[in-house]
Amino acid sequence: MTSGLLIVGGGLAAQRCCEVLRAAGDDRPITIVGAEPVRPYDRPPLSKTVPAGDVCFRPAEWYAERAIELRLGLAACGLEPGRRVVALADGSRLPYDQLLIACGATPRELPALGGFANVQALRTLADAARLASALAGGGPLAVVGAGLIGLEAAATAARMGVEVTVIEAAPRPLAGILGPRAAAWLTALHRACGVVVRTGTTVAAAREGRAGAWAGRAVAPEESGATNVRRLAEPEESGATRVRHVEALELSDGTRVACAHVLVGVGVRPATGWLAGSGLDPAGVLVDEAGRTALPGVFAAGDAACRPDPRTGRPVAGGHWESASREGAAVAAALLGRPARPAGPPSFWSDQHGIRLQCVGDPRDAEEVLAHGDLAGDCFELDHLRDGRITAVLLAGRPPSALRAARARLHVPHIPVRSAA
Amino acid sequence: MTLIASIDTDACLAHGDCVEVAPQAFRVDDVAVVTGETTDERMLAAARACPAGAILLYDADTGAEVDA
Repeated sequence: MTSGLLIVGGGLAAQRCCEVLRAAGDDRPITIVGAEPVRPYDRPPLSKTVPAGDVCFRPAEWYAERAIELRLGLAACGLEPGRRVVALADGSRLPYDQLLIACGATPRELPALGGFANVQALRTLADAARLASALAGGGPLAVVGAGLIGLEAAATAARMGVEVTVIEAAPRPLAGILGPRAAAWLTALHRACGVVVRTGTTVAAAREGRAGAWAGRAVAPEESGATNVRRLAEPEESGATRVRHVEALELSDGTRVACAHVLVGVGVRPATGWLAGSGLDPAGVLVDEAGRTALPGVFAAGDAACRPDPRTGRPVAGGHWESASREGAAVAAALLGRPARPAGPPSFWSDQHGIRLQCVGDPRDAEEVLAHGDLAGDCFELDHLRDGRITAVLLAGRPPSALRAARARLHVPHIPVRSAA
Repeated sequence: MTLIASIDTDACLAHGDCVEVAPQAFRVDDVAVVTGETTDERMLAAARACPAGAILLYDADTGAEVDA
């Protein structure tokens, strides 16, 4: 009796691994253990559209017909690699022949905003439902963090007519990815669509509304005198059971941002704490190109996995949708004894205010050179140059053929265009 | 004009947006495959929806590539 493949985590990497295995005719038993009570689903629509429709990858029959067992709403809590067993939160223990750790990541939290009923992250379907209901109640919405999730959610909210303020500690949005030119364009786009963008400032304190004033309405201005301000260093109130509600954020630059709801999008960390004591790093599992970990028969993919950064050599966790997709498929290839498809350049896409933004390659620390169109027209290509080579191309509002052409010119030495005399 | 599609399988990352837009014409297994035909309008919409730019469109009469 074989135990087959056990997949901890029911997200994209898990789904891709199953898809590739079954498409190849591999019929080993597969069990997916997912912490969320939902079949594997696609996360990008959660921040891109208002009411996410059915985002599940496949209907329940798809799994049943392919002998893929789904154990949902159940978290893993321990790994015993010597016995090849994973312990689950309900006390059961599942054996495996091969294990894929694809349990994803958990949103980072801000200590200043902990414990408030109207503060949330956006990672899961449940988070999306909660945000949709908050947005339906009007605003204003404060978004802390101008990353992809925060910006997309801000764009979605603005489209619904909700007043939105985005607060970012770095001097510009998407600072870890985009250069100053693209970021300035993106900031202008959001502002033109009514989003207030405040960069270079942080949340210094959360102003708490009156107890009981939380139920779907903001505290009326005349009531706001009876508030207290909770400072960053203040410890959690112990034993407090009343529902606490933020009515405004006080920023480090002295600005006060009124809010009925707060979305925190300040990054994620691998949800791999359950691996403590297993021999794998509970801060994120280091893998090779095929997704293999240091333990025999154990693989990792997606946001739970760490890989060496090609530029710095330092292990970095996670990535975007496309890396999770590739890595899940790469693990399947390794299980099939096939060479993995050659990893293409890193890429991501984003939809904001009706404009599709696409990026191929690594745009960090590069010079941005306009290769097509103009930024003011929201239709352009920015080549990113480092050491005389195109390391990335950022495209906005461009057709699919332009994306293919951009992919083809990566790493090609850049030939400066002579300006017309 | 009648548009026919083909998938650049090196570029396809199985996002599945093509199936969302034109379920009659696409299916996603390991990568997307073209399974049938649909209206030109939907073919164009599917090609534009693909985040990887992996759907190539051709004019069935002339064989010329058509930009979405």
